[in-house]
Amino acid sequence: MKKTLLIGATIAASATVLASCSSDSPGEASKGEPLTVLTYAQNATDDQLTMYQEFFDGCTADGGYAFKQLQVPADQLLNKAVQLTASGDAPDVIVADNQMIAGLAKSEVLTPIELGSLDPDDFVQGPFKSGQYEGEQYGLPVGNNGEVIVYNKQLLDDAGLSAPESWADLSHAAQVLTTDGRYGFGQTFAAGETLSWNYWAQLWSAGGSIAELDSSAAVESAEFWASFLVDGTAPQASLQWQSDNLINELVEGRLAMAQVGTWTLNALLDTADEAGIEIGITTQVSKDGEAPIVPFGGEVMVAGVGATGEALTAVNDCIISWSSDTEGLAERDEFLGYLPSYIPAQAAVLESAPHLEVLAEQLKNSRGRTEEVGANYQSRTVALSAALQQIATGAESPEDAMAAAQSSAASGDK
Amino acid sequence: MKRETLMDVEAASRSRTRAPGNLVGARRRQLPTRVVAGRLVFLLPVTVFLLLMFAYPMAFNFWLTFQSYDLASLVTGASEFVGLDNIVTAINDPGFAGAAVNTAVFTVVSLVVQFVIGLGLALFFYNRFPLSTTIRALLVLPWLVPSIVATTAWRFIFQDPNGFLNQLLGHFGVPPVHWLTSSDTALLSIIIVNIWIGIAFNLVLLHSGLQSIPTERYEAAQIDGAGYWQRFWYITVPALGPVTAVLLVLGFVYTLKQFDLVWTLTQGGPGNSSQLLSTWSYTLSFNNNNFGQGAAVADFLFVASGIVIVFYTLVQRRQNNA
Amino acid sequence: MPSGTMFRYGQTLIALAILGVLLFPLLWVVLSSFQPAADFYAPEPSLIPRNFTFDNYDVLSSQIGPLFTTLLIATLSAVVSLLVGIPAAYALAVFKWRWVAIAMFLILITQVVPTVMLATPLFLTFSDIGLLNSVPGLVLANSAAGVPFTILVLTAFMSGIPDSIREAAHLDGAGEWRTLYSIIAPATRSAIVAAGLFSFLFAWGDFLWALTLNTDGSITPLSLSLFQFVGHFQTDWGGIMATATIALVPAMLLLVGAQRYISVGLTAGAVKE
Repeated sequence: MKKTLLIGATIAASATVLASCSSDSPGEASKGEPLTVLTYAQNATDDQLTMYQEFFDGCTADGGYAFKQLQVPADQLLNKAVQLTASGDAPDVIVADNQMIAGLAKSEVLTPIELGSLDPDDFVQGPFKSGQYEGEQYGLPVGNNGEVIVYNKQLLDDAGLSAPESWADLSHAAQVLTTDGRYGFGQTFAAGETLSWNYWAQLWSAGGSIAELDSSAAVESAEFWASFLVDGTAPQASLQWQSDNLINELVEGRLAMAQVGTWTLNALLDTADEAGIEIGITTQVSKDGEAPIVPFGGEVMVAGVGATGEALTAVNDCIISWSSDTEGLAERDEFLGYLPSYIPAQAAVLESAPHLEVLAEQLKNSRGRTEEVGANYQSRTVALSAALQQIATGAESPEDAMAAAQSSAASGDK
Repeated sequence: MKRETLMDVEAASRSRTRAPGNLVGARRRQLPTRVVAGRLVFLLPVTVFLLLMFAYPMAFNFWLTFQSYDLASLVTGASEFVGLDNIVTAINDPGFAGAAVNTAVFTVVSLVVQFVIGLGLALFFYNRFPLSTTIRALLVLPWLVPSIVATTAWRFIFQDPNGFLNQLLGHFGVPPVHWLTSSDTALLSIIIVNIWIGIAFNLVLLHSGLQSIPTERYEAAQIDGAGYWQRFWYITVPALGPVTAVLLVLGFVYTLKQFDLVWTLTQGGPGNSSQLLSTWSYTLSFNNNNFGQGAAVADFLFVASGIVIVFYTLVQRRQNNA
Repeated sequence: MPSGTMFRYGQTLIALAILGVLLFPLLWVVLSSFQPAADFYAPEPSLIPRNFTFDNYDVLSSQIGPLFTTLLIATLSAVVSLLVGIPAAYALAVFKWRWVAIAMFLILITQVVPTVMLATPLFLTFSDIGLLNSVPGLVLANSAAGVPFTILVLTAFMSGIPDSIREAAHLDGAGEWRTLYSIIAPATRSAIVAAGLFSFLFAWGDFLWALTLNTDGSITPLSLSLFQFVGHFQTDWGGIMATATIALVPAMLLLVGAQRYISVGLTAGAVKE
């Protein structure tokens, strides 16, 4: 129901935004056509749209440019940006998930920017680098999220368990906490990016690389990640689950631990609080319990080839001002449920959103999803998620499934 | 389906080609060019439409099969001729063989079961009884509704672990089945939905096929002392031959093309266990942006159903000419 | 004969049972669209709503756009199919051309073409010429199912009309178009209505084109809107069921109001993926 209203509101809001942009309000001097911002409309609320609009209006007030937003469903943003560029309507700014930047840059949709007075060392390195491709800086991170492990504190305490850190910890805890009517551990195992990105930390902690899905580290970590479904300590239904299923099951007491996205934490903590359940939050696990290397979510604001000359300067300024206005950044990221990757703005966000502490800790040791394979990432995520599902359902042995994934992914490489 | 259409077309073309020098043929030669041109105008829209929506895209698809076309090509317009690379890579991809086997199983099982149930229902509805026409009409509904509505309903029925089907089975002591989330049952679940949709279609055609058998033949057989099964085997079965052939051929072609069901129920998962060639082609093109490989897989589908339809047409002609 | 009557009513009962089983999934969609969203997560979902509510139909406010879009696309697709298909069927049925069989075979071949084979080329072409995310683009794509179907159905029917009727019209001075318009079309009215209805239904139920040719969310046909409910972050079963019920309406209306034409379409040349 909430989602429904939300969609309705989004449609209504985008209509007003577009309307207000296309109608030339008198007295407002703008330079020719408004610049296009291609934004990611996954679960953007009308407030978020307004927020982006206000930000862009504000940052170019001096330059005299107006911006209009074009909203695209998250998974189609890459294709849409390429199409627009191909048809001569190249966007001027693109706000895209960080794993798409390599693909966008390779498809020649992006324009490099100048960093000006910003110091690269003030950024968390993983997210900062996600704005780069082959040595060029195309943009800067908007903010970041990630996956963390949440658990029902009472259940762990009763069983005398502490928050899991290593593979062995998590497996053991899942075994102990699984009872009739309750599963020990859950994660979204739905095919596609959702599944592959919640697994990469395990691949990396075992010393593997996305470039080699058939390495022994990859096989070992995939086997571990699917083991919960194989052992029955995770529900098989999670092969089609979304985050809201996880939250729901946790709050209902039918799930003891889960790996969830930080964007769900607010809702989870609220509903758990109402249900009288205390939720603990900890980092993702790693093979031997050391700090895991994690992938991160969140968009990067990049310049599109649509922007040239003065318009590019305006766009460049906007991208810089997103981060350099520290106070505004903290406000905006808090609003989006993100943690800023610009370190000077982190403290303010953490103060009001303490549940992101774990994320902040985790991000220090992060790696972009496209760092190893660049624009070839897309076909890897499809192949890998299929392999993980095969292992989880017992259809293939881990070795065979991962070998097939590697060969399938490699056939898509360019 | 196209029972009458196919037959009429055959009949029509036969009567025309077999009547040399008749009045029609004689008059055709005398038609002034202006009249012929005027008549061609009737075909102008459809010619343009078919060229635009079929001939061109198909040619484009064949071209793509031999090109290294990716997302960047959309912007730069550049792609290279790569010979058979796309075809070779597509076949060697571990996903291909699985999808091909799944497609074969999906198609054959769907066709056979739909046909058997459809025939059973057609026989049941052969005799008129109160409300028979209305009920038979309502049975067409699953076939008429948008596929997404059908899959929405079934998603809910298959829900893991407490969907309706599992609750029902639970009463008989069957433990919950992970219908859509197990690699053992995902394809089966999709076949069940496809059969559900296709029953109506088989029922309607077989029913009209049954109605067209002259009752005198049954009466005569009955006088000769033939029992129900004898009448079924010696009268009904042979008389339904042509309808059955059309049902199976077109059923084959349409089942082979099925995309919506899989995409909305499992997207080919878990782990490609319900992947069909159609969804595999789509995944390659639109998820992986490997347009060339996607095109190659689509070519396979086209050739497979093309062979069947050409074979059918040839057999049909031979029978007609014999 | 009372026992015979009993037997016939017994058959009716069995038929109703069959109907109940086969239509059960659709019935459930309709029924559950009236139960509160929370009940969908109950461990044991029930068929009959425990609590009756219209809340799920709040989606109407957000689905009115998709509903209208789909209605528009489906209607226009039916119109295009008829406009292109009727003259073609007439030509193929009545002009005694030597290559009619070949033409019909080509049209039959269009039924064999996997839609995924057209998807990529049309996507790339439409992207070039700006037909993505547009109603005309979707109408064209959906007519690819309606046009061949219309021709196949109507050619069969129009061939059945005796030449003498057409010749009589010619003697009265009517040209070919006039003959088609005033004699042949009215005589094959029910087949034309059937072809139009089916072309409408093909477009109404379309999913693949909606999925492929829409990339920026500016146009959302109902099927796509329904698919998107099963989102990446949550699944709103209540909204899904209510929207699905709305999507069921045209098929049900047609079944009740145009039953005769449905059978015509089905038996004469039904084509559906």
